[in-house]
Parts: sequence; C-alpha cells; structure tokens
Amino acid sequence: MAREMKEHELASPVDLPAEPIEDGHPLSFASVAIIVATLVLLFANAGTLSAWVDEKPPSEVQLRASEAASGWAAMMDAVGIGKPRTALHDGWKKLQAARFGDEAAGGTQ
Amino acid sequence: MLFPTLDFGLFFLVAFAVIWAASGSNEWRKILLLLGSWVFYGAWDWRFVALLITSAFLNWGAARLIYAADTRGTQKAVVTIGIIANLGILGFFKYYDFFLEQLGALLSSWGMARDLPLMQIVLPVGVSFFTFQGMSYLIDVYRGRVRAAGLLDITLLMSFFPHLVAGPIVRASDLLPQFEKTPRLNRDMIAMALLLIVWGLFKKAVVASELSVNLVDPVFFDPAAHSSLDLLLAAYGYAVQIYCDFSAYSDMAIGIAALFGYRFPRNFNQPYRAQSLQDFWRRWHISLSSWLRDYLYIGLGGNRGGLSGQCRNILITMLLGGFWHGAKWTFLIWGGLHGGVQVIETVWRKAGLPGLPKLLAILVTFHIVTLGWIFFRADTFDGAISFISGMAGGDWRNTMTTPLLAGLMVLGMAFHFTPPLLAQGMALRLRLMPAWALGLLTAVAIIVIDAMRYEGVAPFIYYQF
Repeated sequence: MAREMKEHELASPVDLPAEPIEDGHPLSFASVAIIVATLVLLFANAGTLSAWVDEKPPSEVQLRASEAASGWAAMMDAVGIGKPRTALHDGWKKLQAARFGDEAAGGTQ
Repeated sequence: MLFPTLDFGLFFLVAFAVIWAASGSNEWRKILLLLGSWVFYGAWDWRFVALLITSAFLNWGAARLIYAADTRGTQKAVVTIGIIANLGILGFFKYYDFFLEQLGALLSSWGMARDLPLMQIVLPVGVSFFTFQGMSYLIDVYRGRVRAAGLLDITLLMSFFPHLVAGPIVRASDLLPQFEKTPRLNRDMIAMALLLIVWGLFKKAVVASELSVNLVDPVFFDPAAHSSLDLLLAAYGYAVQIYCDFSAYSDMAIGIAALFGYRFPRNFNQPYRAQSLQDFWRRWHISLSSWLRDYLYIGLGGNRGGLSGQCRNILITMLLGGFWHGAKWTFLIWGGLHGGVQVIETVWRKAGLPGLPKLLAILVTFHIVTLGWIFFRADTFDGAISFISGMAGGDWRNTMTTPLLAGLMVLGMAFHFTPPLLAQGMALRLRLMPAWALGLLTAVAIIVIDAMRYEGVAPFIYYQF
C-alpha cells in the first residue's frame, strides 16, 4: 500500500486533537446553541419558512399555516430583518448571471 | 427526508429534545432512537421499514446461533447462510431485473427469445448500506471480534438514521460498544458537529447543486450537443460535484450522530490529493474501502498467493466494489478501471520502478479518477464512450461554464489542499465560544448558505445505491 494511515485519519472527526472540555453542562451548551440558531433562523429567514409551508400538499391546515407563515415573513420584511439575506441572494443571482462570453448555463443555449 | 431540508430540521429538533429528555434510561433512549429512525426511513416509504426490521431480525438471530454453536463447523455454516440471506435481499432488490435482462439478451442472441418475468422492483433506499453492515456484523461475531448483541442494539445499529440511507458503513465494533451506556456530550463534539453540519450543507446545497444543475446534468444528458471543452469541464465538474455531494452527506451524518452523543468514523480525507489509486481508496468512502479490504480482499487471500494472486484479488475486489454501486455495466467498468490501475501500481512497485514526482502523481491519479467518474455518471456504456470521444473532437468553445461554475470547481479542488486538521482547528476555537454565540454563528452561516443555494434540493447521489 502507498502509506500507513496516520492516527488522525482514522479517528472520528468529532474527537479533537486536544484535551476535551468536560464542563458540567454540555447538554445545556448544545441546547442553547440549537435554540438560538433556530430562533435566529425563524426571524431572519422567515421567507424560507413561508416557501416551505407553501410547498406542502394543500389542506385546511396547510392553508392556515401558509397564511400565518406569509404574514410572519411580511412582518419580518417590514422590520427589515430579512434584508441581509435578500441582499446576499440578489448578489448571488448576479454572480450566477455573469458570463465569460456568450455561454448559457443550464443547457439553455 | 433529506438532511438539507426544513422537514429534516424539524424532525431533528423533535428527536434531539425527546432523546435527550429520555436519557435517564439508556434502554428507553435507544427505543426512542429506533422509533425515530423508522419515522425517518418511513418518510421515504413505510413498506420498507418492514424490510429493515426483517433484516435486523435475520442478523440478530444468525449472530445468536453463531454464538451458541458448539463447533466451528456449525458456526461456519450459520455465518454462510446468514451472508447468503443478506446477499439474497440485496440481490433481489438491486440485481434481479439486471440479471434477467442480461439473460433475456443472451437467450435472444441464441435465437431463444423469451418473455422473462421482469418486476420493475423499487430499490429500497440504503439497502446496500444496511445489508453490508449486517454481513460485517455476522463475520465479526464469527471471527470473535464482537459479541452477539441484543435485538434492540442490532436493530438500532442497522436503523440508526444518520447513517441509514447513505452511510458511512458504521461497523458493529464501532457502534455497539457506544450503545451499551448512555453517551455523554462534550463541547468538542458539539462544536465539531455544528461545523460539520454547516460545512456539509454548503458543499451540498451550494457547490454540488450548482455544478449539477447548471453544468454536469445538461452536458451528460446530451454529450453530442456540447463542445470538447464543455465535456472536459463537465467531467471535472462531476469530480467536484460527487465529492462535495457524498462527503457532505458523510459530514452531516457524523455531525448529527455526534449531537446525539455517538462517534462515527471519518469517511473522506481529501481524496483528490491522493498520489495513487491505492492512496485514493484510503481517502475516498473509507468505510466502504476498508469494508471491502477486511471482508472481501482479505477473505479472497489478500496479499497471500504471490503477485498474481494479489493482483487477481485486487481486481475481483474492485469489480465487486463497482457492482455494489449498481446493476449497470458502467459501474463494472468503473470498478475494473480502478482495479486495473491498482494492479499496475502493485506490479510497478514490486518491480522496484521509481515513483512519479509528487505533483505529477497527484495529477495523474486525479485524471484517472475523473476518467472513471465518466463511466460512473454516464447512463450507458455508449453514453460514456460518446462523452470521451467528444472530448477529442477539437471544438474548444466554452458554451456552458460561467465564472461562478469555474470558481466553484476551483473551490472544490482547493478543499483538498488545505491543512488536514483545518476543521478540527476551527472547532477548537468554536468550543471556547459562549453557547449563544455559537448558535448565532451557526444561524448566520445557514442563512448565507440558504441565500446562495440552488432552488430545491436534489437527492444525494449515493441515495440511489
């Protein structure tokens, strides 16, 4: 074989090359991190939530959820929380539209 | 249920809360994890949850019989029957129609055409992974490497949702000891898990999806309609796409499992910096390559039997490794190419010939791998040949690759030449942050990725295997 595997190549990537921090409340640490991430996404990425609800099969519940989610997204837009995401998405679209010459991505030539 | 979707996000939040709330009892924790895994698998097709349970029962029962058997002969008979049963499941769902089609073509060529009972069988997601896991468990029990596990543990081993549908192939010896007691989290695992999940999301949702939709899929769909340069760039694009797609799944699987307190082994290690095909297979889909080495290559005799025996064993292992991916001749050719080049490397080394300079060796290896990917990606053998011959057509107009796609390809390759422990180094810093700051950073990273990702999420490439 070409070479022997080094130890760090075989271990689980979640075992870091240092003494682990074994403080008293790692579950609280994980829970707080996950809750904060979820709440920030709920506020700052409300449009994605609304789009997700809209894609669900139509039903009475889905209709009500869709109205609530789009109302929530509109409220967040009005506050301006979603602006950074929208600006980034617009910038990404411009990058997608950039061309070296007359190539047409996506087989649309 | 795909990892990079809101459906999975909500499933994960519920599972995380319920599983850790029930951690006072390890048995209840495992039962809830098992039920959650079946919900995850059943979201794709409930009927195949029964197959998963049947497969687990089969391996649990066979392992118990091996453990209880008085003689080595009886043990050998049971392990053989168990392996045949696992292969029977895999063979029926994955290869039945293929073999019947080949038989039909053969009979037809002999002037004996028959209507054979093709069944258009639906392939259960992940069947290749959980049957391989079951076989390795039986062999490990037979070899005395692991003890026969209880029904709950073996069922959870095979059903555990992070690795269930596309690996890594986590072996019994890795996971069963972890099931024996309630796992403990630490900050290292949490920081690295979140990093791996976000990193996998970026590779899949941004790099792989963009390359797939805007370059690779249209070019492979109709190679004859594209220039030589388009074909060449699509081949490179697919090399980057499949790496970013598959390694993303593994990263997210490892990260998600870690948030439940379990450690999965590494599955990728910068494969495109390999200096030989043998080196490549130590870095690519490590859980499969080590499985093939331990349970097939060594079983065939490994390095024993002289040079010719070793070369034969390498070739058989790689051909079967190719066939494991699917019932198509293109996968066999892909496996044969990898096996053939490894045979040449073995003979070269045994003959004492000098190796290539490092950079040249990386370049040559990468291009052989990319050539193999053309067969791997093409729908048919003729499609692959048409693709390759088109590259020699001499038409060097670029009609597909935009600056963004070129940038993503360069980025996908650049991942391979960063320091090997870069991610761990970042996690060492992240673990020192307050929890709220880590959560905020994770959310910001997800928002950035969401703003860049291609609309909709295509299934992972390895879902089909």
